[in-house]
Amino acid sequence: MRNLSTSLLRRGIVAAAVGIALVLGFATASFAAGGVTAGASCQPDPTTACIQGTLRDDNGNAVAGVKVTATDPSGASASVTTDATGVFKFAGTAAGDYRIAIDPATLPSGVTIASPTTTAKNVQLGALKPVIIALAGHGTGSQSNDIGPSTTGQLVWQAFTQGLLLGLLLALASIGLSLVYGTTGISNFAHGEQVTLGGFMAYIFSLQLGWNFVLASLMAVVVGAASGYVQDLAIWAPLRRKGIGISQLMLVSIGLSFALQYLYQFFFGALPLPVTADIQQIGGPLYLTPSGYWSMGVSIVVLVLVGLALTRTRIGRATRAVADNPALAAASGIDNNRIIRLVWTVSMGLAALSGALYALVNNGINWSTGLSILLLMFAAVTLGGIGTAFGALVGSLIIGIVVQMTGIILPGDLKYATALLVLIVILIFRPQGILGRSQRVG
Amino acid sequence: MSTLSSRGKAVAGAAGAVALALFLAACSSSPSSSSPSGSTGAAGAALPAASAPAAGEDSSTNFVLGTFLPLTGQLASLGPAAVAGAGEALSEINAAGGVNGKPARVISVDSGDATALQTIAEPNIKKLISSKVSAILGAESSGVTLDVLPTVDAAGIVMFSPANTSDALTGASKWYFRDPVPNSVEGNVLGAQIVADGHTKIAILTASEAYTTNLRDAIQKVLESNGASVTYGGTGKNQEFSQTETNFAPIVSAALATKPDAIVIDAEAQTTQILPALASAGFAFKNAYFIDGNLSSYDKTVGNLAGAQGTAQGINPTSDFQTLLNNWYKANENGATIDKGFVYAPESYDATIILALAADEAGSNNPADFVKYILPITGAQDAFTKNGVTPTVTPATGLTDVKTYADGLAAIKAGKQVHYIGVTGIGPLNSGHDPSSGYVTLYKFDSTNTPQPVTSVNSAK
Repeated sequence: MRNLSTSLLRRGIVAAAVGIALVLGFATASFAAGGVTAGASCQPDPTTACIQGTLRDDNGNAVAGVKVTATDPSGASASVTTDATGVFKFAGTAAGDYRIAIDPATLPSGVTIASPTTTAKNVQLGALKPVIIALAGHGTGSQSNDIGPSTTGQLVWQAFTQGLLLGLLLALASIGLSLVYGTTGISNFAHGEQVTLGGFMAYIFSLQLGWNFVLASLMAVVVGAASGYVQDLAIWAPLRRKGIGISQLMLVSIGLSFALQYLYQFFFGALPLPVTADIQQIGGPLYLTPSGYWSMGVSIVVLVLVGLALTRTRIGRATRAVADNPALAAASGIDNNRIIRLVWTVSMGLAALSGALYALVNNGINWSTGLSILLLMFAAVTLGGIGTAFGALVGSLIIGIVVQMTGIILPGDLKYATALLVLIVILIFRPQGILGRSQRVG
Repeated sequence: MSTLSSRGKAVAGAAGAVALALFLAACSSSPSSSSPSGSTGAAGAALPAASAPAAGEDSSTNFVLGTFLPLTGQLASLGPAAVAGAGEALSEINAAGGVNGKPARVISVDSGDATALQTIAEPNIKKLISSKVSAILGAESSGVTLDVLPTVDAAGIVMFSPANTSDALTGASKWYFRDPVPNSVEGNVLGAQIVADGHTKIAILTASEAYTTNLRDAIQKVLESNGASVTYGGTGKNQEFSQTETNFAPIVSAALATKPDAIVIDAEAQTTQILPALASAGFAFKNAYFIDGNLSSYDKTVGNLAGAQGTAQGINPTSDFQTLLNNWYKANENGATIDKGFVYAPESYDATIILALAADEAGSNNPADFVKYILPITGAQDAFTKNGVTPTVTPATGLTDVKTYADGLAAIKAGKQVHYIGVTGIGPLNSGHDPSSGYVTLYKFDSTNTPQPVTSVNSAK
């Protein structure tokens, strides 16, 4: 209220200074003609219209010190010079068309104007009327503010690198999904929530407890892995022992997924939570932030290690044996339950790592983030060949790149649909997935 | 074998879908009571001044307000302000003697957001209806209201929103009212400000939802009529992003590829992920514009917002009113403070008092009896007699102007009809049940990432 009254007062003083004719115009309501005054603090009200524009050069930087004259419908005029932010503002008391003229002589050198006069059409009382004044060129010292991709090629490349990043993070998460399916036959719908868990743990350790992000994400992996161990111990192993069917197990995982989502929402709220307080600039050949590059590097190293472990170590070979033929594996002396416990533990640890990195590169994680990428993970796993670790990697990269690149041309709502479309098309031609072996009949 | 197993998978998939549906239905019976950061404890547990109805108390005995405000979801950050507005109003109503001589009661449920219609909004609205409330205060999200309004309409209960701004809700139902001005009015003010700031190429990052797309259309119309153009996210360009989107770097780079000189962030909670993506791409926030759905204070983790602007419906409440609400909130929400601003608190307060005065004037707490008293109480005198004709927007004559519930109740007891002039300063509700005029406030972010009011503009629709 005080602001309003002082601005009224100021406007009153300015009005008085501009001329008695104007005051007369206020006093005698029978005259339609009003007046126009410089109105740096103009506020639209039922008897006042504000006319405002901002002079910017071709770099988008403010052009100060330019003389601007406004002429109202009755022919009254007032002049101002643009302020440090390039703004000129007038207060008018009449509705109608106003003529706005720029004094080209006051433009800084390097800045030109094609048509110095503009008409602000249909100015209405009680509203702000914006005026566009187009200037060309720029003076010395005006920096370019050009950001974002400048060519279609650059845009496509950026979408590709974003896809690569998304694909690698999906691969980290979906390898676990694939291993669990391969060894137990469960399509684990709660896998997305394990990804979310990793993100939330990174939030707790990094932002809440103030740890270094590397340590925080390591802790997230530890918590995630522990949750996998406990989950198998408490839920999946007993169900396995009782010989519960695959589709019932899947329903259990759907229930677990919902329970976890709402539990997250209860404890962490609905808003996305950041995992780091830094804002990093994108750069380099891939147009990623430094954390984007690190996430890519970490994903690649971890994926290679998992791949090597599966093919070169005894436990890895045992895992693949359990996946290929559990009965035969058991008969040849492998403790299937131990292997499966290990698979749950490692898979959930990988999912947590993926979640921590996903939250890092996407500036936050919320209770439903995991759910939103669950379908992509399923698509990646199925596409690559369900139950095969390398297939999950290939499938993830394809899905990630397809999703991000179709996002350029397709409606945002549809970009995840394309991934699933690709899945359907590939499965029609190659039912076993890209790297999956075709099953023998009989 | 392979065909067999794929058929088995299809069966399992179908079973999964059924299980999903069953599970959703199962979830729906329990009201969600999660607490977003900043508001601890469900609102329903904490309105001692207007406690929950006792057994047998419903709209046939007491005035029962069902609050249907966002305690979770995309708009949860706006929830506490509206909860406090309604809570303070109910405290004042009961301090003045209640409604129709009996204490006003409240039932609080969560409205969630437009992504949780089946799990939160729909079951909770049914809960309010089966509790026979006199009126429902909510929802905040236009998408939620559009979804539940047919149910409320069929039940014949007054629904009064303190925050819906979608133009699609104008004249939506005879039971539906609202006191913020629609998006078209906010769009006028925001669009004009963007052009007045010297921006001619504008990217609008639009979430795919009723409220955000409607507001985008309004902003775009004003931008284009003033000679500016929308380079990204415009109507019909199919560049909206899903409300569940979490990956904004590609969207930001696609928007920046159109070389905009200003960006409107037309989204809700997703804004906290959009802002760092913009900052990472080197965008200067002094050229960013916010909408009412995301105009709140932000952590420094999203970047430095100093100089960014935004608009919200309604007038910025006086510091006295803010203190009043904060005190109420502290006393009733376990000492928590309203830390995300006061957007829609005045609307919530006024709506509650308008509803209570309507019930007093009708002498009944039954919505079917008092619904027709709502328009006159907002000052629309013609609404009584000329049904279907746009009520006059000039100050009504023959109505007694009152500014508080206590004064209104006294005037009604003296046999007068009242016109409540509330905190929001809106004009009378018109035949579409929208305010005929109202305030839109322009805000600018300060160096602590908090939006500070610059001007409040009273504009007519």
